[in-house]
Amino acid sequence: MLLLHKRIKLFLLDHWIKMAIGSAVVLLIGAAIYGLSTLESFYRHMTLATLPLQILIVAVNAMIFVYMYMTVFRGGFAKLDKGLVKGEMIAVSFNDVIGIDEAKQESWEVVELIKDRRKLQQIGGKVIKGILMMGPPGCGKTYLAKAIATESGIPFISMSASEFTEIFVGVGASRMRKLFKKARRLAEAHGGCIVFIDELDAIGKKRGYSYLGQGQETNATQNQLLVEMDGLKQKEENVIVIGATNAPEETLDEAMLRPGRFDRKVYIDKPNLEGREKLFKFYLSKVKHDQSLDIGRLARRAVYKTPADIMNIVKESALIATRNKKDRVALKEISEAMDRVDWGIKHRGFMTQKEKEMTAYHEAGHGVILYMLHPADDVFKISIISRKGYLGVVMKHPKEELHNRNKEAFLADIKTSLAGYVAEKIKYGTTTNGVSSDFRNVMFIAHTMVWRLGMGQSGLVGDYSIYGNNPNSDAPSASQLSEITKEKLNAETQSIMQACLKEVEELLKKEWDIVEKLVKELLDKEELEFDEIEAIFEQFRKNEPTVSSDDNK
Amino acid sequence: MIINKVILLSVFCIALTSCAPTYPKGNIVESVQKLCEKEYNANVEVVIKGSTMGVRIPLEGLFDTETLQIRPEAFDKITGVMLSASRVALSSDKSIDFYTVITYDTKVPGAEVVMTRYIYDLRRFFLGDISRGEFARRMVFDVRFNPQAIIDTWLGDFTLKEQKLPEFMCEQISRRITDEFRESEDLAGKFKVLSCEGKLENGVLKFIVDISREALPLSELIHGKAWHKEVLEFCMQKICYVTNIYNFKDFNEVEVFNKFDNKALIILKNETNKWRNRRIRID
Repeated sequence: MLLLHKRIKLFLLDHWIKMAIGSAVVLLIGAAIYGLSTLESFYRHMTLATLPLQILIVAVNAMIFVYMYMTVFRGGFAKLDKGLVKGEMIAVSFNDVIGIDEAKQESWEVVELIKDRRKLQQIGGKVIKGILMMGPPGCGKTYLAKAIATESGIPFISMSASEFTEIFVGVGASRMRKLFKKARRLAEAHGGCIVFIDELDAIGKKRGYSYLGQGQETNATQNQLLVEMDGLKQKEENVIVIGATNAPEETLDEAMLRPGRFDRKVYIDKPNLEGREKLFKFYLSKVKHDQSLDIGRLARRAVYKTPADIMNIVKESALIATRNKKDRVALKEISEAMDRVDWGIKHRGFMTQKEKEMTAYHEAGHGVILYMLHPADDVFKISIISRKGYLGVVMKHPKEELHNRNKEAFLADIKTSLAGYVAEKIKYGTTTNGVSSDFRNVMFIAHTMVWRLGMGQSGLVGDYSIYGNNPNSDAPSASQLSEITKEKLNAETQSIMQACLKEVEELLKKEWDIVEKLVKELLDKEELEFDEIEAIFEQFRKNEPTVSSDDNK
Repeated sequence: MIINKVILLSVFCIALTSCAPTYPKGNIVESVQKLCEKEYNANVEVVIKGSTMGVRIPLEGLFDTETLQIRPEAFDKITGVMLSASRVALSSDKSIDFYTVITYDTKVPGAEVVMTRYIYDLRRFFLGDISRGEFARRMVFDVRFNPQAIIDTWLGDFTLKEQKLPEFMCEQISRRITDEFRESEDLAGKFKVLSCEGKLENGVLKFIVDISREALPLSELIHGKAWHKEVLEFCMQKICYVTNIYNFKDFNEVEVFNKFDNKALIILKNETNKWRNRRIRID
């Protein structure tokens, strides 16, 4: 009863202008009818005859006024045009959230806490004020927030943090005040309200203090958010703020992350194998597909892909199937879609035969070393079709979802990258500029191994990259690192690369027949899939090195 | 959505209220009498003949005995009665094309003021289609001595002649010609209009005027400008103008004859537009 009274009161407060206008319109129309009925029929006819024209004139005037108002005044800079979205209207349930089970579980607890707020307060517990959803883009943070709103069944106001930022200082803070004022009123009437702020890092980054006043607007907006979430207020309302960001936690302001503000953090990571399988199953169920498709294989191939990526792959494969005049999506289409998502559109027919051949040797070199030496990665496609500015490509993916990488894997990476250079040199006695990105990669890995990870042979350990030139940093300055140490480290880096180069040269010369076979096949087909590559190696009785978890420790 | 429904319903109600005529055709006479009595305290007689409504008002002291002009109080009453007649004619389902208000002086038997209006003019005036001055010029006004009026007064009834558009037009043209020769800046004082009458006869709109030149200025005496052409041209332009405003086409030719110098101008119907627009003159 009390809630109904409150809702009526809120309705009247929210709609009094509309109700006043409505009453005035009804009164005026009534007066017009009465006035017309007292007129003689000729004058009535005359008035009615001119009525459409008068209405048209009034409508045109109103449109001009509204246009002027919108363009000149825009309803005030601090106008907050955010409508209420009822939880049940969002219609995203927890069942729709797939592939991020852990985050889902945590979010479900949040929903229960929102629902059982009174019970929690009775036993003296503190209500959750804010939930921060963190993780890479495309992992379903917004989707999860929608699910929380649906399941908890309370009003939901969604805003992007960038909507608060404005060139004028104070506008963002003003909008924030208005947002929370609105949320509190809704919470009073409906027992709770969720405020969802997407891309929170736009206002949530560490506050900076500059004499020139830079960042004042962001600071003011963030301060207002902090105060609204845990400031002095007359009355506590059940307003829960859900923030979503792709930014790393350490870039966010500490005050935001302390208990009482965003006190619950939900990490939404890329889905694991099981999650990816579910996602493929879910998105493929929406398109006609070949029932013999091995979902597990697709999931294994889509390592590190986000739910958004998987959705995109399936969508793209359906488009490819339509273009190829097929009535269902098969492995070929999905494979092509993955290539397109990762590597972009193919550009055929602009290389000369000689260039094609050189590219084939270069890529075959990579392919052989990757297949034969790499403990962690698998080659799943070799192509001499140009994509994204590369003349050819060897596509690889991890054999398992590994979260660290050992020295052997790094060395294998270096060897794989050097293999293209070596193959060109063996075949032609010269090399091309196609090796530039490989060399950059090699140098980076070797340098990291020695300078940062202590993987050199000299016995030097530690992260030497912390020596820098930033006077504001607490890290030691570059001048504190001796020239001898630098020389040692650089020599170590070079020795790793040379050792790898030597090993690759020996192996490629030894297995040159496989290289030639791969080149021949590549020149014929332009692209070789995993099965075709494996068949070639099997023909030469060569197997991949098996990966064991011990290898990665 | 509710507001839309309310507005629709209101428009429907308004449309519904506008359907019924205020003065139904069965009560026209009573309506005019009631209105005149209520609004202007005037007892009037009303007769309807065809599409013409006649309203007769007896007034004591209609004319000023010294100036022989209509007295202002009498004029106000006539105007009021005309307005009442207009209101009824406009808001009735009876098809009325003309109304005539006849005012007679109870002290001067036979002397009466007759004013006739065409309802079409009235509608256009209310719709702002014609100016107040033009509206006034379209009224046919006559002060006359009518022996029949004496008989009518004795009998307590009055005889009304049904008004037709050609006659109304001819009377209006005659009045326009007479008034303009008297009041126009260019013409006043130069010409003398003794008579001007017109009628539609056998498809000919025939106007016989008697207009003379008061005095010729020296320049015109020297150059010998043909003033009689000017008279005929002016009259013809007025005739063509009036036939055009009523879109009157039931004639074949127009003739203007000036009795004063026995000169005449005859044109065919298809030339009236050129005359109206002054694109044609007498050579």
